[in-house]
Amino acid sequence: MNNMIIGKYVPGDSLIHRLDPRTKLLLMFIYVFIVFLANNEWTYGVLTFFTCALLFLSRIKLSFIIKGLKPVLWVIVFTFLLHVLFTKEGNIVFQWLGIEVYDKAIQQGAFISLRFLLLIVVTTLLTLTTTPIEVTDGMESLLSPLKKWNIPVHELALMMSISLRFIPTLMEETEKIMKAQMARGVDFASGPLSERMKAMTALLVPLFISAFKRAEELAVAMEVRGYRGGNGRTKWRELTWRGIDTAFMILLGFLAIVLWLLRS
Amino acid sequence: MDIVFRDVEHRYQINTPFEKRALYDIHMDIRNGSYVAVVGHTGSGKSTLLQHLNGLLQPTKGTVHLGKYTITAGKKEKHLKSLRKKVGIVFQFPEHQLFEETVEKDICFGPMNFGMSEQEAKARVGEWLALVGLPEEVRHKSPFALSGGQMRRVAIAGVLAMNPEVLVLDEPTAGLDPRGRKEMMDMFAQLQRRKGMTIVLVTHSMEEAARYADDIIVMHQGTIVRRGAPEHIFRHVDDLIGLGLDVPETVLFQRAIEQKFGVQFHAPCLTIEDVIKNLQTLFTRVKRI
Amino acid sequence: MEVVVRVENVSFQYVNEQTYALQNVSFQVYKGEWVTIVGHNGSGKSTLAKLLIGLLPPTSGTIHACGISLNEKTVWDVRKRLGIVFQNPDNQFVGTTVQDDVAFGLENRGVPKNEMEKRIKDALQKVGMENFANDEPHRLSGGQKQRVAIASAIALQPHIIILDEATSMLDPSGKREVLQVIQSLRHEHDMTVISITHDLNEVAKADRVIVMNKGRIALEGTPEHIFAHGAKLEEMGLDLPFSLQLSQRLKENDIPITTDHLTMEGLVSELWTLYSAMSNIATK
Repeated sequence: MNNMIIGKYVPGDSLIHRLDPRTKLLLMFIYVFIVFLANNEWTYGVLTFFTCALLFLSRIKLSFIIKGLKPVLWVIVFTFLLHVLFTKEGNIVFQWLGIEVYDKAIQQGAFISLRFLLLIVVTTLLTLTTTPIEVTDGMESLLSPLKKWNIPVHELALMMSISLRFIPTLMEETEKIMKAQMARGVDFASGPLSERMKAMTALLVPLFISAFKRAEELAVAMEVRGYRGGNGRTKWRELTWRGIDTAFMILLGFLAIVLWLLRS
Repeated sequence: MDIVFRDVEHRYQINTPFEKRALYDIHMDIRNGSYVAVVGHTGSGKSTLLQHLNGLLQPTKGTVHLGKYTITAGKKEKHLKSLRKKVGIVFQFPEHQLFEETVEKDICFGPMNFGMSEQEAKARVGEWLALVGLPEEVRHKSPFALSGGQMRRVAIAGVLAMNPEVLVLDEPTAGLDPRGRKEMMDMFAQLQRRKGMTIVLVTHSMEEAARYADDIIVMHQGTIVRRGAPEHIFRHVDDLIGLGLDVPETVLFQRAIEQKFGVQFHAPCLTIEDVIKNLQTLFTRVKRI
Repeated sequence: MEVVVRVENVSFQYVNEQTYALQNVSFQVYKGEWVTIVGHNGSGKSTLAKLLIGLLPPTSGTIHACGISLNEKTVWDVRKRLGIVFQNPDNQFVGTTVQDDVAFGLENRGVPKNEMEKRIKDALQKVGMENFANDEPHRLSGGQKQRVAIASAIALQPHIIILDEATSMLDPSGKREVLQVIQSLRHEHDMTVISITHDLNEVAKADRVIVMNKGRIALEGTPEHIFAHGAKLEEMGLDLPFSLQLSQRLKENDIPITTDHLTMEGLVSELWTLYSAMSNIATK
C-alpha cells in the first residue's frame, strides 16, 4: 500500500504546483475528453508531448512516477495483450501455435494502452501537485452554482475536508489496532474464512468505536468554536485565478483544436 | 527467553521519497527474567524497537534473536505466530483493542487464537481477572460498560492470558491518575517476581524506570545512547538533561543537596527512602563531631 | 474583584444512575485567576467541566459565566466568551493544516479575511507555533497539536480559557510546553484560566485549587493550603509533590525541619540552615 502514489501530495513550488486548483480540476476533466480525440500517430504524439511537458514542469522525479505506476502497469499490459490477441484486422504479422497477430491489432493495442497510461499519468500528476484541501476548495468553488438548487455544497466540502484531515489519523489507528490484534495471535493474511471474519471483527469493532468517539468529540469541539452551518461564515482560503491559469486554459483549448485537426 | 539484537536497522517506506530511518546500530541483550526499561522522548525510536520484539516489524538490516527464533533482514520468518505467543505486547491505550461482547470472551480471544480450547480458557478467566486485580463480577459484563482503568486491566488480562514469557509494555500507565498508575506498576513488578517473566517497559517516566527496572536503555534519535543499571544511568544527570530527558525528582534533589552541602553521595538516590537514608547519615555525622 | 464564573448549588445526576455525579457544588472564579479543579478519575471533575461549557444542563442549581446565566438559550452567547481545550489532541483539530484550524473558529464567527490573517498570525505567535502554519496535524507532536488548540481558542479572544484535561494524553515534554504557553498567556495577557486535571504540576502553578471527591468539593484554597492536607489527598487517590512528601517523611525520621515545603529549593535551604546550625553546635 505504501507504494501507491495516487492521492499522495508531494510538496513543491513548481509552475504546476502553483496553478489554481480549479485550473487543475478543469484541466483533468477536459483532458479525459480530449484524450479520446486522438486516433493516429500524430494526435497521440501531440498528446504524449503535452503530457510529458506537464510532467517536466511539475519537477516531480520521473523515477518516482514510474515506481508509483507499477501497480497499474499490469492492467495496461493486460489491455494491450487483449487487443493484440482478439482484434483481427489488417495483415497478419506472425502466426504461432494457431495464434494470429495482425498489425492493426498491435497498433490499436498500443494506442489504447497509451491512452490509459496518459490518463493515469495526468490524474496522478495533478493529485501529486495539489493538496487535498486545494482539491476540496476547487470543487466547492466549481460546484457553487449548484447551491441554487439547494445542493449543500458547503456541507459536502466541509465533510470532504474533515475526511481528508482524518484519513492519516484513521490509517494510523487501523495499523495500531491490527498490530495489537496480531500480537494476540490474529492472522489477517491467511487462514480459513471463519477465522478471517473473526479477524475482521477484531479490527472493525474497535475501529468503529474509536471513529464514533472521535466524531462525537469533534462535533463538540466544532460546536464550542461556534460552528452552526454555512450561513454567515467567511472564508479563510480564497482561490485566486491568475494570468497563468487563463493561459493554461487557452493552451488546453488550443490542444483540443490541434487534435481535432490532426485526427483522421 | 533471551533477546539479542545485532546491528539492527529499520527504515520505514524504504525506497520512496518518504523513506525514514527510524532505528540504526541497535545492539542489545536482554537477559531472561530481567526487567528492562526503554526510555527516550517521542520519536526516539522506542515504539519501532518494541515492534521488533515479536516480529510485527522486521529489521531492514541486521538480526534479532528471540530465544530459539531468529529474524533476519530480508528473510521471511514462518514461525511468527508461535513467537507471538511467547512475547505479549501491551500497546499504549490497550483498551482500544477490546471488541467482544463480554469481558470473558475478550480475555479468551488471545489464548484461543493460540490453540487453547474454549473450555479451558473460560475455566481460567477467573485466574486472569485476579491477576490484574479485577473482581469476578465483571466477567459477564460488556467491556465497554467498565471505567477506563478497568477496561485497561481487561486488555492487559487478555495479553497475560496467552501466558507469554516476555511482556512488553508500551506506556502502560498513560492517562491514568496517580493511584491507578502505582497500582498498575506494582502489578507488573509482581508478575516479574512471581512468574519470572521478562519485562520490557517503554516509558516516558524516569520515576517508573528508576523505581522498577533492573536495567535502563536510553534511546535518542533512533539509536541506543546509554545502557545500564539505574544507579549507573542516573550517575550522569547532566548527560540525560543534555539529551532532553527528565531525571527522577529524587536524583534532582540529591544533586541540589550535593551542590549546596559540597558532598557526594556514593550512589544515585532512586527512591525517597534512599534520600532519607543519605540525609540521615549526613546529619548523624554532624552530631558525632 | 470581578467574578467571571459563579457556580451555585449545582447538582447533577446522569440518567439511569442512582447516585449524583455532582452534589451541591458552589464556587466562584475571579477575573485573571488560574483555578485548577483536581480530582481522581470518577470524582466528578469531568462532569463539572461539561456543565461549565454547557454540554450538560445542571439537574439543579445555576451557573453564571461573564454575567450571563447559562441555559439552553444563552449557551451560544456564553460559549463566545469561552475558549476550550479538550483532552484528545487529535479530536479537536478540525483544519487540514495548522492555520486552517485556527481559521475555522474565525470563519464561523464571520471574521473578515484580512482581520483573520492578523489574528491567526498573532495567535500562533503567542503559542510559539508560527513556524508550523502550513503543517498538517499528523506531522505534529501531541504537545504541538494542543498548542494549536490553544491558539484556535485565543484567536477568538475569549474571556476565559478552560483546559479540560488538556495535558493528560501528552508526554512530559508536551505537558511542559502546554503549561508554559498557558503561563505566558496569563502573565502577558491577563487571561482567566480554569484547568481540570489530575496533574500535580498544573495544581502547583494555580492561584487557587478546588479538590473534587465523590461529586463534592472536598477542599478549596491555595496550593500550599491544599497540600497541607497531605494524608487526605492521598486518601482521595491524588499524589503529593515530591518536596512535600519528603518534608513529611524527614520529620518522621528525626530530621527536625519545621515546614512542609512545596519546592525543592525551599527544602534544600532549610536543610542547609539546620545542618549549619547543628555543625556549629557540634564544633563548639
